[in-house]
Amino acid sequence: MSRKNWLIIVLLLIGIGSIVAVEGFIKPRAQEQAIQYEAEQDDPLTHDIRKSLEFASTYMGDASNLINLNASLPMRDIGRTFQLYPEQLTAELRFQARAGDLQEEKLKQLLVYNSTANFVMIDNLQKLILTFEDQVFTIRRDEVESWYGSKVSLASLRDAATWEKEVQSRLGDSNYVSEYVGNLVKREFL
Amino acid sequence: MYNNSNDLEIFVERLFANQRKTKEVVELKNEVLSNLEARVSDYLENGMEYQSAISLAIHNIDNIETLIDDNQKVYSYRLRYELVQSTLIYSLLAWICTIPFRFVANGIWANMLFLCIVILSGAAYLSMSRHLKRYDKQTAIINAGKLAKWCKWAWWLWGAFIVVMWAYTFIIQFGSDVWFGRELRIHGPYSFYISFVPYALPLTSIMIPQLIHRASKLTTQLEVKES
Repeated sequence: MSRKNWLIIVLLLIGIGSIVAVEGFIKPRAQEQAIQYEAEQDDPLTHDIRKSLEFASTYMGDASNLINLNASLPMRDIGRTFQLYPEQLTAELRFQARAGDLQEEKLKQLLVYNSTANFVMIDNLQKLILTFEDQVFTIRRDEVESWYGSKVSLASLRDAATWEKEVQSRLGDSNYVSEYVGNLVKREFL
Repeated sequence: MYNNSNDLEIFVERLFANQRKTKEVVELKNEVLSNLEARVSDYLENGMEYQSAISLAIHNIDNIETLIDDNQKVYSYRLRYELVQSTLIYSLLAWICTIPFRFVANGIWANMLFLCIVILSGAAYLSMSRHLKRYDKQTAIINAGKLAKWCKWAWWLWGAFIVVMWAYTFIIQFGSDVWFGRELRIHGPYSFYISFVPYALPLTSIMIPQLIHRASKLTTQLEVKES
């Protein structure tokens, strides 16, 4: 058999081996990891903020940016509409779900995480309203700024490592979360 | 005499530098060289200076294109057979190279396309192998000059295609940064892979100019050398 025919056989074997490795092992494993990653994105404790950093913007009037930002944050799987009030620099997210159906501890974590993320990423957003079918939560920027204090500016939280240290890692502390919600979130029942 | 021969050899080598190395061209080259040597010797015997003799001898030779016939007799079945074999090898290489791109839709399509080419060229190669002995001496006339020109054009077109594809990909990826101030972020290996694939995939089309180049080379290798 000629050298070129040997080369063809060797290439064919390499190709078949590679296809088996990619389709049989690597791809299913990557798919499992992707599913796990997607599940982690719904939980404030495991969410990856780096994707949301892409939607940092100066203006709250950029509706598509605000939509994309909230689609990258936890609670993204809950159907929602948006209402912007540019004169008041206020954004309202209307969720098609009942806040009462969510676990209380998880709801508080989501309120801390998502409200902070919205104020960090949108420079001139002054007020955020999260409207559920049974409850309305209102959070103000100046109060969130005071909460994090002068040492941690909201702009500095656009760094993923700082975000993890100052926001995400503290969500495991239920006292911290309750204090944030108790002091900063105005809660109304419908 | 050594200098005389050496200078003329350099001149003739340059004269034929862009020509194919076919039997006909090699013969013509030798003929031109011996003719020039004879002329220079003549001039020197008549008392002319060396440099003047060389200059005068090569004065009227500046183009040999018209002396070379582009039509060439080749073993046609063997040529087709070798081309199919090269197609199979190149498509196997392209198929293997695109396997890592099977994580994205375009990569799957490209990989499947090369697999189809592998299957078709493999079937043609096996079929032709069975009849190789029977048709091995089959000959045909091929315009090798035209093929060489196609080869150059194929490389130019391929180069232009790659530039256009890369520019298009670059604009698509970085356009949002230019127009909307939203920079491209590469978070990790997967993100890099997604950005890299659109640049790498068009490169697999190199097998087209490579095949034309191979065909051009084969016309020289498979030239019928009649004694």
